[in-house]
Amino acid sequence: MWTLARKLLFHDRLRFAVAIAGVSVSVMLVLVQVGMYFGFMDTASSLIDASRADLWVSKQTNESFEFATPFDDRAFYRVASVAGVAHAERVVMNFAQCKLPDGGDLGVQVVGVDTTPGHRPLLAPWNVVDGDARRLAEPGAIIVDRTEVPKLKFDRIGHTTEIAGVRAEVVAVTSGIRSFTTSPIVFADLRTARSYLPQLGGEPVTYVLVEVAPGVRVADVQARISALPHLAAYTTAEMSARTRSYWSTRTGVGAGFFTTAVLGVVVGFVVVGQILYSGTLQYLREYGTLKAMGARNGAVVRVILSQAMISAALGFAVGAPLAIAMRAAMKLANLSVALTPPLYAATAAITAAMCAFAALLSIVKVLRLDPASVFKG
Amino acid sequence: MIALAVNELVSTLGAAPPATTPIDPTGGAAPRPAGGAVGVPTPRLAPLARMVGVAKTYGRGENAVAALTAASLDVHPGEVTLIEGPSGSGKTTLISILGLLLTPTAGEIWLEGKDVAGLGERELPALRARNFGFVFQGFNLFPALTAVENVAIAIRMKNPRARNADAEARRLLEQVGLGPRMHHLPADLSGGQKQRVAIARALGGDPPILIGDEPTAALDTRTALSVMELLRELATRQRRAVVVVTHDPRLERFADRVVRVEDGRIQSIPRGALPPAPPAEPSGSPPPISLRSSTRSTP
Repeated sequence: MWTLARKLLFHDRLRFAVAIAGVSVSVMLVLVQVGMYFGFMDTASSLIDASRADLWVSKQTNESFEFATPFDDRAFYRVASVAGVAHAERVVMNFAQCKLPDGGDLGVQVVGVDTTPGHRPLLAPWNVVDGDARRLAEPGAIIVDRTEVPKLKFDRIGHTTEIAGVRAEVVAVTSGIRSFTTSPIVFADLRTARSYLPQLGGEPVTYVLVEVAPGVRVADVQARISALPHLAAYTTAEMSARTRSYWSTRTGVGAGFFTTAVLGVVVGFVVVGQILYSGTLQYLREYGTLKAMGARNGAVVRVILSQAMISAALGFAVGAPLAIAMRAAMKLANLSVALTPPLYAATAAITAAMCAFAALLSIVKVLRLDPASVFKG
Repeated sequence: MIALAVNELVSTLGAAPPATTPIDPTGGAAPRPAGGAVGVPTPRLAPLARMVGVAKTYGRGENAVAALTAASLDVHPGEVTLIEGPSGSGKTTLISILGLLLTPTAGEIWLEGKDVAGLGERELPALRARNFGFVFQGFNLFPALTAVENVAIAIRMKNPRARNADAEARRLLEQVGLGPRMHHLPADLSGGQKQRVAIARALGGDPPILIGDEPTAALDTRTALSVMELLRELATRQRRAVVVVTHDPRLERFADRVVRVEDGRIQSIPRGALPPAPPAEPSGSPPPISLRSSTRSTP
């Protein structure tokens, strides 16, 4: 069956090339669009996913990770004193204006983390590629990502600028820490960060990160903290999912990416369906002859399904490298496309299903083909 | 020996229909010696297939059209039966029903010792695969497949468990004189060669009955005659039943029986009206088919 399917497909090379092009474009669109979506989502939750915290505590009313309203420092002590909490750290987070060398301003996302010595921090800059991250505890020290260098327009470690009118010195550079809001993330010590965020007033805390004591169930501690007034505790996984969900649903970004991906599948479906159907019509008399001679419907259907699977396999084999090339091109534009093995596997399955469904019309045509029709004309 | 072979053949192909069923419309008279000068007179064997009082009506009520009325026909091994008649007379309906491609409105079709007229599409493919090979005017070969692949795929489609389909296909193509061109695509073959491939394909699975739907209509006279000679040989030497629909009266000389269909009714042609049989191997004929060991070989 495979031989017949392959030869029938390859016999009309132009038509086969169109089919493969259709599937390839479909595969590429699905991979790139879904990959971009996951890339954006990874970016949206990157700070959360990089933390070592068991629980993230925030105001109960907060919906957005980036735009969370802070609470008073006393809430930190209430959380830290809950039974089962081994260690708690403050995180303050908000937006501020950074002065550029050319005199302009750029909005940055300030992330103030605990740099108290003696304990490995639950959240700290990672992937440090240049400079000294230990200097972050110094007043006015900041760490930024190298992908943001063109925006911030600095040329070296030690570059000084002002954030909200307060001195800031770049002491280290990371790689791959980017904000979903497109504003550069600026790591600073908690006190430095608070000085950059005077609009929050007092001693603000946006999140409290909690490390649960060994042997204590995280869910128990989570329930105890959530019972505190106006506070809500989420596991790191829950917090990450909430953030992804927020950006995905509230901004329509998810619908946008998936609509394009679905359109890609539709394009592939239509192209492959049309190609298979026209091929089936072309060989209808031959299929009818085989049926007349005793070939069962299943045998003829297998030929058509084999053609669909060959188209799917070759289309995927061409489309996947195209998606990889697209990812490389998009990386130059600081766009992240998360092409993961599960995404490849899912796309391969979708492609196979798409081609199988595209073959349905042809299959119905062959199933309804009256073998006696070969005697008519 | 002959009696033994005949009995073996009958038991292999299935029991004959009941003796009470009507005899074929030719009156049951003995046919001409099969193959004319090629063969020697052989005893007539039990029919491989028998149609009894078959009718086919298309449409219903006022729109009903009777395509075939009370048609009875026996198909015997070793015989070539020509079916003639004007367009729209019911020839195609007749062979479609005989080949189990069309369900009759009434009547019986005896095959493998049982009436199969009422069987559904679930059982029919296997019956067709065992009993019939078809040859068409338009060849119906896959243009993407070589001659040997066209034959082999039909063998595999008939029997997915066939292990030696390629070898069988090569042997069948050698048989019909196409050994040297078995790896050519249909586009590289002449009309006569394509029809030989189609005949080899029809022989795949070793069916006892070959049905041809105007198999020579698209061929020039010389090629048409050589194809008909091949079919004659297959009937004579391999004891297959060959049923051919044709408009060409020149083919009558290859036939043991001619059945005329007019207005859906079968009329036999008087045996004396048939033209003389052709010589065994006329000049310019293709390589003769090679005999093989088969249940249908001449006893």
